[in-house]
Amino acid sequence: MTDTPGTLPGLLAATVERQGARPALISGDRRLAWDDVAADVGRRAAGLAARDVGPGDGVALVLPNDVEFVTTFLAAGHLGAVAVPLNPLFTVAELGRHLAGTGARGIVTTGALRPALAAWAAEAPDAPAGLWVADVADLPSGGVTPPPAATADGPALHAFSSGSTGTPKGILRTQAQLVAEADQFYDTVKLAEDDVILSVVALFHAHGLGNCLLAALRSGAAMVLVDQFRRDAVLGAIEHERVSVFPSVPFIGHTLGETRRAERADTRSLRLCFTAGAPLARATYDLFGARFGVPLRQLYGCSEAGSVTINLDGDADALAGSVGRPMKGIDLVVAGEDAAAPLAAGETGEIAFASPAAATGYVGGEPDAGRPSFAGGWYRTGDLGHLDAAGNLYVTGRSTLFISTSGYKVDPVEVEEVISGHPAVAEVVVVGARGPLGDEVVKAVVVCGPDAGDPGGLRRELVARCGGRLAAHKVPRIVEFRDELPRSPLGKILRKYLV
Amino acid sequence: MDTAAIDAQVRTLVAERLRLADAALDGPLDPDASLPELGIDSTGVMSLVVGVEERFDIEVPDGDITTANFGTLRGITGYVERMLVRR
Repeated sequence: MTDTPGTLPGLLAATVERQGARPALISGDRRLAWDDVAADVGRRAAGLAARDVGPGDGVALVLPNDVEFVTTFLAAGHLGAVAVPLNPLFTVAELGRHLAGTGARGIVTTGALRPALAAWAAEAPDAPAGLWVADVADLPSGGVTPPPAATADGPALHAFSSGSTGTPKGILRTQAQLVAEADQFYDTVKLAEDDVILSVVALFHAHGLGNCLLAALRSGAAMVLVDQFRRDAVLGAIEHERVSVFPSVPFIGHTLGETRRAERADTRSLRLCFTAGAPLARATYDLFGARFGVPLRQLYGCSEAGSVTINLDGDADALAGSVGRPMKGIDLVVAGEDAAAPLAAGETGEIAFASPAAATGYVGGEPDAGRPSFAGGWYRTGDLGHLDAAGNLYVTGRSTLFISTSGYKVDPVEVEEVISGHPAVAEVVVVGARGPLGDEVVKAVVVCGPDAGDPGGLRRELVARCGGRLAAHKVPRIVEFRDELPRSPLGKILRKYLV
Repeated sequence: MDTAAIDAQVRTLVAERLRLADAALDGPLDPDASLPELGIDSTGVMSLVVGVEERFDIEVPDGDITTANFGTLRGITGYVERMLVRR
């Protein structure tokens, strides 16, 4: 099986050959060695093949963070099929919206979710014809393991980018691109087979898939699978399984940092903790570091390419605000209006990179053909940032969120900074709402702090504050108060619900 | 600490941690209003739990984070009261 370089089955075979007897997956009382994983993947591949899954066919994974996610994902890869991982907390309608257009032949899910999904598949007009829905426990698992049918250039993953436009964009990545991502992380972070990766971030998302699953598969490290963030479960797993690598999101880092009983847990095995998915506040960095004695670092990535940069700098305190330097094998620039000319250190522009792990386009083409995201081997992220003189990247905003109003472009972050300086404001997001003339109107959505007082009075104060600090076209015309901001499971603010 | 005092402190926590200020609700928060129905998701509940631990100097184990204990203001107040008695 090692004659399949650049593929997921090739990666699994190499790890099994090197260290088949070492621990691979730990979930509660279940412990699988890499040999066991290979055997499970073989049986599961036979089960999927019995359901007519072959090269290029889509298989949706609507599964929690558990052993079955890993083995089903790798079984699909073994067959050269396309895994379509989806959030098990989605409503059936949301799952359907994502599945339409993926060409999925079937859905592998849990016994609890199967009935609702089966009903949807039988009744919904937009459900792919002949779509089967299987409880992962009922997949036939006998039979002879089919030989690996993966090819390096074949599609292996159908992911989605939430983007800023509200419509999820489909992204197909090949076996070779996933292997390249695994190699980049391995070469940059220097994982070893005795590392233990706590896998509490969602495996259906790029963060968990890349930095837990692919990272373990490439290095032979063990994954400790935890389905939901619960503090005692996480602290217990760190202590009992001697977790060394802990990928998280800022919310998890902050909550653990605030949890006093964390000091009673033996967490000395932690050596690398990092967040992704949302900016890391300095307060969270400080809390976590004080509690665990390990710096909470930042990783920057996207569904289009997996992980792109990570901050491994020796001076973690000084560089806490940076997402670090590009992974090995990635060329990254900050580009101005002329994408061909990278900007100098300190200048803010759009982050763009070239990576063998990146997809080469969106399913169904570019949403904005006049300004393609993928061109000439580069991917323009739409994120704004700058590099320091040493090459550390700082992400400061998203260029695609610029609001077009009165013939000007408004950077919402700039307006947000002015409003958030008011003591009564807890959180603010500035978006472009549709204006009467088809253009956009600057709109601020404000979450008040506990002592905000009268909303009418505050609205007037905020507008006056902006008027005193910003050009007139940047002053919000609409100020809306909300109890909280809508967020994705990773904590990203869902701006589409605010316009 | 009596029930009224606990209730007042929990209300402050809800306002601070969940930003459910009374003004945003057009009046004081109904003690039996479902927090999930007010848009409080599991991350919001977790944030509230950490605040309760700090404010009342108690520990809330994972298993106690249930809808009965943390789904309404009344549920939280009752839970805190029981934990303080047990301490």
